[in-house]
Amino acid sequence: MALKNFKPDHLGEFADILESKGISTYALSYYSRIGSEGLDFVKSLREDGFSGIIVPDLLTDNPEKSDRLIPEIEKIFRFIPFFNPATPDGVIHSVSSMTSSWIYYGLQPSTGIDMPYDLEEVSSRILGLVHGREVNFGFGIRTIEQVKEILGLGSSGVAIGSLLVQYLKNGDLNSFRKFQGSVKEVYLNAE
Amino acid sequence: MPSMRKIMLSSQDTAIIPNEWYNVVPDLPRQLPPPVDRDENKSSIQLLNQILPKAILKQEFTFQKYTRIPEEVQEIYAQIGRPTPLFRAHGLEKALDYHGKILVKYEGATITGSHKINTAIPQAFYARDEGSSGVVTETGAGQWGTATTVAASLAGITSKVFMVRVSFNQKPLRKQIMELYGGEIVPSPSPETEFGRRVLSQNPDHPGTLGIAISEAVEYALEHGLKYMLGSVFNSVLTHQSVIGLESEKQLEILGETPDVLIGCVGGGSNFGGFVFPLMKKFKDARIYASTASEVPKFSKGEYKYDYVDTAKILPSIKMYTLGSDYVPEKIYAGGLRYHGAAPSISMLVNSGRINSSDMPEDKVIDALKVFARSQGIVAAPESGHAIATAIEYARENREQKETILVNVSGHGLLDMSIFQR
Ligand SMILES: Cc1ncc(COP(=O)(O)O)c(C=O)c1O
Repeated sequence: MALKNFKPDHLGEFADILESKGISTYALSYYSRIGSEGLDFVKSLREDGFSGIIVPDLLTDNPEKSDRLIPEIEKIFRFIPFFNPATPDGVIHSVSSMTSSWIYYGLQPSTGIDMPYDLEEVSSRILGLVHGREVNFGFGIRTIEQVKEILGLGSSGVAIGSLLVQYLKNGDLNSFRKFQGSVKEVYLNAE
Repeated sequence: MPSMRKIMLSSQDTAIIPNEWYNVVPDLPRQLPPPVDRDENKSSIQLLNQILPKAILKQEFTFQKYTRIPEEVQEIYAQIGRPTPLFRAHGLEKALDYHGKILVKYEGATITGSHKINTAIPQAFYARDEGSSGVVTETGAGQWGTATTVAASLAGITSKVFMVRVSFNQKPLRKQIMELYGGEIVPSPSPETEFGRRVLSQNPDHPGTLGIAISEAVEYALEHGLKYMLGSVFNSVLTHQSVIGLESEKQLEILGETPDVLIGCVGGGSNFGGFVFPLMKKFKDARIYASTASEVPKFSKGEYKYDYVDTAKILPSIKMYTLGSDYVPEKIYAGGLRYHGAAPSISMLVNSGRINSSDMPEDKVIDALKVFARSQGIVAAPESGHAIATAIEYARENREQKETILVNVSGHGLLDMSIFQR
């Protein structure tokens, strides 16, 4: 229901409202949109109140575009690097140095891949490669225990997608709010 | 004349066997496109969770450059003939009147006669450790099937092998040796799986392909709760095969040699990746040639795009050079090269131009195998014959360059003699 009635334009409205409350919003878009509409699309996101953009398929599907595109986007707002276990060290170094924002790190190499991993190994890898930069983790986070563990290992935050979307699909707003509440509690306790 | 010690390294020096495998993925110049599900209603990626040991899955997607080789596997590596020899091929140099050096890393010296045992051992041991009673796989030429049956019996579990029908008919001794090692061998396409029955209903005389045999093995593993063994293409397999390159690196150091050119053959890419990647890290300027069959010209005529690993499209799609997962290659003897695609990491570097490709037709390969047998005394596998043919062509064209060519000879051909019967 919620998903069916959703239109991309709403995003702009929300970003605007949130910005006025001092909350930053970041857009996630696949490269094809930038490829077809160019930087005008990026500028329109900025005008809508977004603080930056994540392009999850840029480094895998259009790597040859990234050297030119990332600095162009950085002139407009923040480009948020999206890395995961399959990102080579060299790419992490070069893309980090072209940007100044926080970093989004996927715990899984791709959506739909539920692979065994050692959280401690994963976080020490990325924190070691980008020392000092704020890193937020996402992909496959399903429980509040994972959230606690991730924050305990030095991450600045978590991104939770599929789990909350599932609550929305089921129309279960209570569970959605409850989970959101527990995440907030974990954060407050962590500080 | 150089002293004997400078020509041939003793295979007995187990200190040369590495204690860690090397994974190239974190060192690639670009990020590997991830495996994907092209059919929204299927999760072929989740399927990997069911059919592969967890340890393999972890290695498949790890960002770690080095993974410790379990003690037990290190010990078995020593028992099966590791380190394999790396030697200077004086006979071949002389036969070609080549002014530089030709070095050979010889994987045919393992007990099963090819590099395939390097990954079969850890895969079978991980399957056993995770409680599996048996493993299933496919085989083209029979080398991978042989390695699987040996590894399974060393691990004390069962093995079942779907063997591409054309090879099954060409190489009856292969079936016998796999059975000797305790494996159960079925020609593919077979009536034992739904996919096999479907292919047979369209063409009862279908010669089979590796893509079809992979589909059958995966289906069978799923149906019977067994673990599937990955013969090639996947990152984890290339990682295990890195013992080839890591040993070569130490052996070159002992010999005091620096290779200018690295050559290997590519089926799914496992011996090539395992050989070349650790060396590429050290010898940054080395020119690299991937030798494929002209009859299966994946790099020169294939496309670099997402395609299925197997013909039934059960496994995920990966980005690689491919001739199409439905492609039925000619019935060449080098069954191990009759595969439509190649490992994503190798494909990426062919696409970027770092790795060159070289297509070799079967008649040139047969000539190369003869030259190699007569000059070095080694009957190499038909697959390896492609690498040798590329090396010979390179040496002939650059006779006076005085370069050092290092070629990986992935297996022996003592069970593939039918290639010479024409
Ligand atoms: C001796 C030998 N070399 C090479 C290959 C090709 O496989 P890969 O490219 O995975 O090394 C095979 C496969 O069966 C083989 O048996």
